[in-house]
Amino acid sequence: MKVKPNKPASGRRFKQKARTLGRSSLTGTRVLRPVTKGGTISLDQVRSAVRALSAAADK
Amino acid sequence: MASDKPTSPEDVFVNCPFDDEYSDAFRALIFTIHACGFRPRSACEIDDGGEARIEKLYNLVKDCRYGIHDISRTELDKNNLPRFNMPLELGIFMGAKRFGPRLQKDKRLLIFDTEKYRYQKFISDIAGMDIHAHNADPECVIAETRDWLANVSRRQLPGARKVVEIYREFRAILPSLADRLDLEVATITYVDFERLVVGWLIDSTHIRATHKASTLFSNTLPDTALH
Repeated sequence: MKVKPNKPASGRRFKQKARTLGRSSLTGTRVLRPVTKGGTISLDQVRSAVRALSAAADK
Repeated sequence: MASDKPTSPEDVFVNCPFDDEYSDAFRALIFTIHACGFRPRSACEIDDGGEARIEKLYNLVKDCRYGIHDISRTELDKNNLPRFNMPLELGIFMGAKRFGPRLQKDKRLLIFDTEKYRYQKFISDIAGMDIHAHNADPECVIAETRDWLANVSRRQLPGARKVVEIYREFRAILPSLADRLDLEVATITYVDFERLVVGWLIDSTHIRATHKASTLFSNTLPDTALH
């Protein structure tokens, strides 16, 4: 029985692609998720605070 | 730097001072990079555990197609010694572009100084390169960075005036936004600042609304909201 030899690794790793959060209505450009970790606040907390401020201003 | 991995066309290596005196310009730069649809990468994201810092810097440089280097604060520090980190990282970036594998040759770099020809007095070997002067003015940093990114990436980006305008709005809203999140504007770290920028860019629906909100939540906005 013939055994197919394992293909040697090319050594090329796929990089994690930058993750898009969507487009900014202010600039029309996509906004990429930051790479940084840690910190004291989460992106979700910031987004919710921004939405609350916008809603307050719309009233 | 032996592997021939493509550089990331979204990543911009930011080689700038992180001290308080430079914080206005630094924050303006981070804001502009995100507002133009790119992602800043800097030594600030490196924690010091495990791998040696210089190895992490090599990896950062290797990943980024674009590099913004500010050599304006190479002067003597409080110990009367020059600050060499910025010129060193500029040298690593230029070396990767010049001697790295084929795909590293796509790298593009922007060099900032306070004045256009000042560099000749302390780093004359880069004579002939196009040095951009920012005069320590954050709005000048925004315009120069935006124009350069549009040029090297060939992407359609919001105009410099637009980016300056939304940056002013962001500065105006920042105290109330920081207040809601129990942060002090003057001491916001790089990691948190990046999240504030990104969160605001993605969720702020229209500029005037957030500006109006900032006046609702804070009666007095300091001129230098960004310490």
